[in-house]
Amino acid sequence: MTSRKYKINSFSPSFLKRRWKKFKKIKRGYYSLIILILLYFISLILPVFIGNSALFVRYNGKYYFPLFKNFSANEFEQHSRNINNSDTKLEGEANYRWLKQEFDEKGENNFVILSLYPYGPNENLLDEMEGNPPHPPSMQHIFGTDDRGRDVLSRLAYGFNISLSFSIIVTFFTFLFGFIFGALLGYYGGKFDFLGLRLIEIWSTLPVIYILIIISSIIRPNFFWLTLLLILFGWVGITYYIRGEVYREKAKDYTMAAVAIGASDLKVIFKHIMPNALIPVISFVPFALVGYITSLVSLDFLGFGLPPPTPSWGELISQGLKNTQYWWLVSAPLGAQFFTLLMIVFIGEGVREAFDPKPFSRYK
Amino acid sequence: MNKLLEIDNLKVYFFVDPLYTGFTKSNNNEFKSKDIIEDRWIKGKIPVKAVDNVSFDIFNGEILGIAGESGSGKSVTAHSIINLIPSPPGKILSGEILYKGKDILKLSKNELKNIRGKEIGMIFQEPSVSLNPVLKIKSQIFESLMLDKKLNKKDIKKKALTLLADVGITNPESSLNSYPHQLSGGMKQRIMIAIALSRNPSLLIADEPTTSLDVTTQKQIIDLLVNIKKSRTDFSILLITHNLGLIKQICDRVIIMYGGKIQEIGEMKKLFENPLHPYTEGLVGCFPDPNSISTERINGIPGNIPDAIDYPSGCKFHPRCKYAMCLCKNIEPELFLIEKTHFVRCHLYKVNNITDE
Repeated sequence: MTSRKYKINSFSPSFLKRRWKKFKKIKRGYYSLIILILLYFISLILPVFIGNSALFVRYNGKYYFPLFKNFSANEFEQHSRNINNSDTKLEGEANYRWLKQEFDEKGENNFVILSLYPYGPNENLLDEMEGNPPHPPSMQHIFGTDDRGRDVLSRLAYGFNISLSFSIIVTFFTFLFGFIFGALLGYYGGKFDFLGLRLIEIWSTLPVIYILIIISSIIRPNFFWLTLLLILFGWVGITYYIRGEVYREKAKDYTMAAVAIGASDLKVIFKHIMPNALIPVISFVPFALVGYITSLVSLDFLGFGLPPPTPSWGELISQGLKNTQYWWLVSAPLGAQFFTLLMIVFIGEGVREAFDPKPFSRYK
Repeated sequence: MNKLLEIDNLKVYFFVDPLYTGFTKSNNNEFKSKDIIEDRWIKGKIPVKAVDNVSFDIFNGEILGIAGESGSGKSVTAHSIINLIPSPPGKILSGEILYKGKDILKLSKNELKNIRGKEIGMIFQEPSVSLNPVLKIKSQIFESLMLDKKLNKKDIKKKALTLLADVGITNPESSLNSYPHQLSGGMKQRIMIAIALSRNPSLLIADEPTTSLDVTTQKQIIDLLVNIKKSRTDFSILLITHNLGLIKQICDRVIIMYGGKIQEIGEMKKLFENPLHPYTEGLVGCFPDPNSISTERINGIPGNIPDAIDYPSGCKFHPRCKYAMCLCKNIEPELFLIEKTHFVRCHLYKVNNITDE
């Protein structure tokens, strides 16, 4: 028996597995991906970390979980600690920060566990802070407050979730529809392709921003409407790419071989052609994410995006523009956006590199 | 012997834009009059007569070879048997392809699906591009097996493994899990054969199955085809090749094609012993006898194959033919019956003409 230098690997790693290994080697993209995924998952359970409702309250032997159910101030017989006129009975929603102070002062068995950063995104803090808004950054409010006395960090964090969710949903659906339409156009060709392409061309020349502005002046778009509108106008671009790829792939012999064994059209398109056509397009995904985050921010900035008081980056940036002397209002949202987009671009760069079949080389 | 497939007057033209051909439209005149121009895309295009009135039969249990130079219409003939002509630019203008009595050209798309793969399997020229590069071998073989809808998953895997073992793949289990680029050309061609055989077709069309392989692998693949043929009853192979040696080894009958037409049909032995058509003679002459010790030069056929857009008048072979007569330049010969099962398209044999084919 001769000894072998290398072991034979009888089960080859799959295509995507190899790509993933290559992607992992690109440190910038890999760590950006990990950080971003971590941040996004944190943002899905954000009220645990940042928010004005307490995690847990014990009051007179009863237990409350304000994360899941709102309680009114009467429930705890809470007193107002308003800096302007204190010691009246608090009406409406309970304020857990005051409740904690109250319990601590009284020293009874009652206690409150607040979230890590106990300020909500839409909560007006004017009752407990001195001076006029916007307040500069302090230990309590890391990025200060905005011009209505709301905590900036909290708004940024909630805005992050909204921006990323929005762009992920829009990207997913635009790519899905783009794939389907592009594949059908490319595969069937002929008159169907001609008419389809003309329709798409007409559709793509519609001025999207103006239409969005017009629509949002008629109906105040919420999250659902805004995603729907952007999907409606966004699938066109990807259709072109997929159509071209399918055109190229369908001329290859394996397509003919698949037809020759009696596979149906849909099977040929979606099983044989699609995975081949997808590869060049996959590297677009991160950049599309960037694009949709930016477009949501710009719509919000112009005031045609999500309705107030939704925490959104665009709205914060527009505040910053109106109050340039308050540096935290300018730098915080811009910085947050910058770092998020930078990370996604790093991921995009990594993905592109990982899907590049040839390593970079040059002739001497 | 029963006829498995009857091809009758098959005519396949490709219509190309005159811009890319170097010809002007005036060549198109003959086309306007009699042939149907129902498709708008044909308008203003020049016809390339890839296959022109080809008729032949394939019998049950034979290996039929089609030989000819590149561009003589062999592959197009083979592809049109399962209606695999890309249109545009190709169009099957007329003809009948009767498979077990059914005309394949008149079948609907769904009926065609049941013929492709199930009744007629096909192997392609280049195995490296005929397998989908991003799918594992497993899913490509399973796909074909799953089209039958009778087998459950376990049976499918079992059947795939036996298929791969049948085509001589030494470790079927690990081949199933690999991607096409990890296999050699011969292995890929074996897998293509396995896929083609997976639904037990009664006819296998092998479109130059050995062209892109090296000689030792060619031998293995050909031996494999012969073994497969032997191990099955009522199984026919249509072998398309430009390699006469290959035809000499395994075929029962041979068709020699030139310029989109059949020039000679005959049984393999007779055709090689006594080639009648000057073109066949030239081809056979180019094929050295490995047993002889003669030191004579091999004289090739002078000239090139004519452009399929602009064939010479009369016999298409006459500019290259050493026996060319005046008659050849003007009149295209018919297929003359020489003796039983031997036909030739040449004026030299007109004397013997007993029946018009």
